[in-house]
Parts: sequence; structure tokens; C-alpha cells
Amino acid sequence: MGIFRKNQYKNKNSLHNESYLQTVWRRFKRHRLAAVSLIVLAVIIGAALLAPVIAPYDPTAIVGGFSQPPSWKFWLGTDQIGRDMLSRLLYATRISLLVGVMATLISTLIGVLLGLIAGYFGGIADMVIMRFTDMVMSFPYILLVLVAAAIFSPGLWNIILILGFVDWPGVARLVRSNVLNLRETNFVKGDIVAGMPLRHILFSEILPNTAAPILVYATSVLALSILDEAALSFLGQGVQPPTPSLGNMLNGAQSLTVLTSQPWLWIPPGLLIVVIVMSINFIGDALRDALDPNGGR
Amino acid sequence: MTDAKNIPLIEVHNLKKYYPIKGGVITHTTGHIKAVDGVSFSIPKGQTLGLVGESGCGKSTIGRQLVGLETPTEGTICYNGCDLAAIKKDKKQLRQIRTKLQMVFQDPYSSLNPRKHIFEILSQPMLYHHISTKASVEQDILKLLDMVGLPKTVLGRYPHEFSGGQRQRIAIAKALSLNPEFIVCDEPVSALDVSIQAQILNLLKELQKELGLTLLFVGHGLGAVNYVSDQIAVMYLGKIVEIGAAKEVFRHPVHPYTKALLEAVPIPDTAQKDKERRLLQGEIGSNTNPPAGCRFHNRCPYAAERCAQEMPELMEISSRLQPETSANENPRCTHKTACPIMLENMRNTKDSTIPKMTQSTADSVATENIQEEEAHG
Repeated sequence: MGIFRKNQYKNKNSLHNESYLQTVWRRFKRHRLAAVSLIVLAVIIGAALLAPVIAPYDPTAIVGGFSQPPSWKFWLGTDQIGRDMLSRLLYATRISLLVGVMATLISTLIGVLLGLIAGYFGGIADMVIMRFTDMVMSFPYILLVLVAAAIFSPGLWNIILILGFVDWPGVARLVRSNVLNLRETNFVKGDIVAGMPLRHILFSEILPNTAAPILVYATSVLALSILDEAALSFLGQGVQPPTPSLGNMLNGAQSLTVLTSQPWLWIPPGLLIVVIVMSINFIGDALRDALDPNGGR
Repeated sequence: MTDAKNIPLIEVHNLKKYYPIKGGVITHTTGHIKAVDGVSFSIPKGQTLGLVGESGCGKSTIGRQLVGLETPTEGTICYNGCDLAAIKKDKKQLRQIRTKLQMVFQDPYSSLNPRKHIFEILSQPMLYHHISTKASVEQDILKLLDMVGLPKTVLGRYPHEFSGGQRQRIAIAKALSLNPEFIVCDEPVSALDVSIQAQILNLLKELQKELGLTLLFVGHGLGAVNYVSDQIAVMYLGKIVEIGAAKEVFRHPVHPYTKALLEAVPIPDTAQKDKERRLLQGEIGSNTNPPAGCRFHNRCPYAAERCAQEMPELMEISSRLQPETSANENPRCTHKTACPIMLENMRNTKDSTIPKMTQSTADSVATENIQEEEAHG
């Protein structure tokens, strides 16, 4: 689009010279809770990304006494074998977010592709894909993950792949139903009449028009993946120690003594999971309203 | 008239489109919706065929088949003398020909991608088909916009910023961008305000004259169809019941259904409001299980017994029955009808009564056109 400069023909006095993204941003900001969530999440992500820089100690090194309460030396205390909790928490957030984001990317990619194919081509392709989707959906979710985790040795990348391959049916259904509607619109038909290639119709006409619901859905998948990772790791089938994750940090706090007398071992990771998941859900809610084309000004 | 002008650009022969109805415990085809059931016509280059009929009579389906959105169940579509089904294997050639057959849709609100600005919408097909290059596409698009009467400021805007009439102009520009020879206009004005309808109709007419376009104009507004068409085909339940030069069909309708359609046009004259009008009784028949014989016989005021038995074919109305025939003007659009009863009536009374629509209706249709022209001016 070299020659054409996007704003070249814009009427300076027009009320409408706001781009789509600007409109979305303005509507998003109206949700206070979501705006705050965005800031909180940004701080958490920033801290997680900068973990190697800001963490005071090596998360896997034994640096102090066993189960020491928070002090000036160890802000969040130490765990049962004397590792610094703050450093572990920072690295754990990093791992948990990585699992969540990667699993969401994988499942969204699979879901979008299968949904596009099923919705656009219909017929046998649609039937095979949707029955397969129903099949994956009808398995007890956590059991499937546990079995898969047991078959493939648990580990960071296996967890990502397992979660990614389990979360896609919702996306596939969502995309399929959107494509079914879009396929009947005149602009898609017009492109068929104009002899445009399939890849243009699928990825340039149809996909951008279903991006908003996909994005909203992806936020809930992201929250779910983080929760699932925590659950799996808590059950010992997820990310394996000594690598810290929010789930396996909780795993180490299962005894009654820890729960009653050493709250610094489980409150920070538990709270962090709740805050991350809630923030993502609030953001998803606000995005749904902001991206709605009929949402008004 | 040169020879080249007499070769029809579009020739449709015995076109059929059946949609299967699936049902039963084990899914199987239980019947067919016969949307289009054996239709033939041809459109000479540079002319317009108007296709009229009730909703659901199959007129839009014909349009969609012509531009390749649906595959005919049976029958052939020839463009410039070459059968479109025959070149299906040669994808490159098919793609080339497809760009020559374009379409303007009824609903301008869904014919433009809401996520793209007008420059993208117009430039992408042109660039893909190498009709324009990256360097010249902007100039080409400005030319197109000028043709459809839009300012260049529209380029950076999104479809939701435009009114229905403006969007239809953009849709027309999009159809024109591939240098087509033939455009299917599928009720292009029925979703627009009355005041805008005339503008769009005039625009289509001007563009046709300027670019030598051939049009298939699908519509149920008789005034609009009459205004733009050289030839008119009247459809009923998937079949053409009357076809001929537009003037001829409007002034001297022969088929009872055509007459009924023309009489149903409201007359904008209060002096005549009490005049009794024969309106069609009953519902349009089912196209799954169409009435035997003539499909119109159960609603036809002239129906005889044999109408329920034999399926009437389109027959030429011999010119001696037509006093002011225009057959000499255009030998290709002979006036044909599928009603043997009316033809016989005409033959029996050929010297006294010529089937004529009530003068008032003809006037009102004519008045409408004048009003439209005035609105445009």
C-alpha cells in the first residue's frame, strides 16, 4: 500500500475520522475495573519478564534457613528447604504466564483453522470436524489432561501442548458459527464473483470480521489455561520441580502445619493466581463491549 | 446494424436449478425445490434484460447462476458464444471470464466489508487481476469514483460512514473495477429510499451507455424495470411466462399473469381510486410440487380445463396480431408468451380486440418514469 497514505483523504472536520482501534480504546477505558486490571496485569507481566533482573536470589538455590517468615532479607520468607519465596514467585509467574499464553496461542490457532474449514466448506469436512470437536468436548476435561500428562512425561512443554490441544473446541465452534454467517454476506459473494482466491476470502475478508469474538474468547481461554496449569502442577502432573510455577508452589504447601502457621508459603502464589485470572476476565469482558460493532459511541 | 451486434453476449438455454430437500430418519433427498425450471433467453450486447416476478419465483437464482455463485442443475450459459460449464476445467480462463461477469447486490449494507476502507475494497481485486498496478491503482480508482459520482474523499473511510445510496455507488464502482462486459443487478434499488432509487437507476443507465455494458436487471418494481430495460421477461414459479421488448410487454401484455402484475401497480391518481381493480387471488404455488399443467392455472381468471393438463410452451405472438410491432427494430426480441388460451383468443378476434392493458395503468407506469427523470435532473 506504498502510494496510498491512510489519512490522505480524511476530512479534517469529519466526526468520523477516528480509527477503529481508537474507538475500541475509548470504549474500553469506560470500564474502570478493566482499566485497573490492565494496569495490574501489565505490572505483573513486567515483573515476570524482568524476573532475572529484579529477583534478589536464584529461585532454585538454597539461600537461607528452612521456612523462615518474611523479613528484610527475605521479603516473602523462605520455603521448606530454604529457597527465597519472592524470587520463586517471580519465576513462577513467568512460567505460569508462558504456559497460559502458549497454550492459548496453540488452541486458538487450531480452533480458528478447523472452524474456518468447517464453516466455509461445509458438507463432509464440516461434519467430520464438528463430530471430532464434540468428541474432544465430551471427555472429562481434567481426566483427559491427567491421562495425557501421565502418558507423556510431565514437563513444561508437554503441559503447554496438552493444554493447547484440549482447549480448542470452543474456539472452533465459535469461528464456525461466525463463518457460516459471513459466508452468506454480499461482500464475500462479491469477492467470489470477482474471482478472488480462497486465501484472500478466508484470511482477508472473513477472518478480520471474526477477530473480535476470537479475541474475547481467547482471554477466557488464557485465564482457564493458567488455572489448569496451576491445578495440574498442584496435582503433581504439571510443571516439575525444581522449576517453580504458581501451581507447584501451592503443591508444596499441602500440609496442615503450613496452612495454619506458615501462610507466606501459600497466600502469595494463591493470591497471584486469583489476581491474574480475575484481571484477564475483566479485560475480556470490557473487550467484548468495546469490540461490539453495534456498541454505539 | 452490424453483424457483431447481433451476436448475443449472454445466451441461456434451458437453465434449471433444483435444490434438494433432505429429510427422513436416514438423511436422504425427499424432494426438490425447483427454483428455476427450464429458462431460456439471450441478451444482445449493450442491452438490458429486465427480469420481473413475485418473490420466490427464481429470478435472483438466475442472476446468481450467471455470475457463478451457483452451479446450474441443468442447461447451459454461454458468454460470447462459449459455454461457461465447458471451460470449468481451465481455471485460468474461467477466472478471466468471471471477471467479465459482475454483480451488484440488493443490500448495499452487506456488500462492503465493514473492516476495510474504501481504498482497500476497490484496489484489492484490481491488483489481484493485474488490471491495475501499484503505481497506477490510485488514479484508476479516482476515475472509477468519478464515474459513479463520488468525491475522492471517500477513499480513506469505512463503509459504515456512508448512506445506502452512497454504498450502492461504491458497490457499482467495485463491480466496474474489473472492466466487466456484463453486470447482474439483483434488485439494486429495492433497499434504497425512493428519492435515491431514481439516481441509482439513472447512474446505471448512463454507465451502460458510456461503457457499452450489458445488464440483467432483476427487480419487482415494475416502474424501475421498465425504465432501464430493453427486453423484459416475466417469471412465474421458475418459468418465463412472457418475454419481449419492454415497450411491447408493457403496452400489450398477453399472459394473464403479466396483466395481473401490471394492474397491481398503484395508480397515483385520486380520481381513479374507486375504480375496481382485478387483483390476483390465492397464493403463489409451491415450487416443490408445482401445479400440473400451466403453473398459473389455479390463480388464472381465464383458466380452461386443459390448462391443468398440458404445460404450455413459450410461443411467438405473430406480428400480424400486433398492430404496432417493434419486431423490425430488434429482430431478436420477438414477443413470446406461454398462454395458448390468450393466443387463441387473439387469433379469433384479431381484427377487433387487441389485448390491451387499461390505459390508466400504462399511463401511471409512464408517469413514474417521468417523475424519476425529474428527480434526477
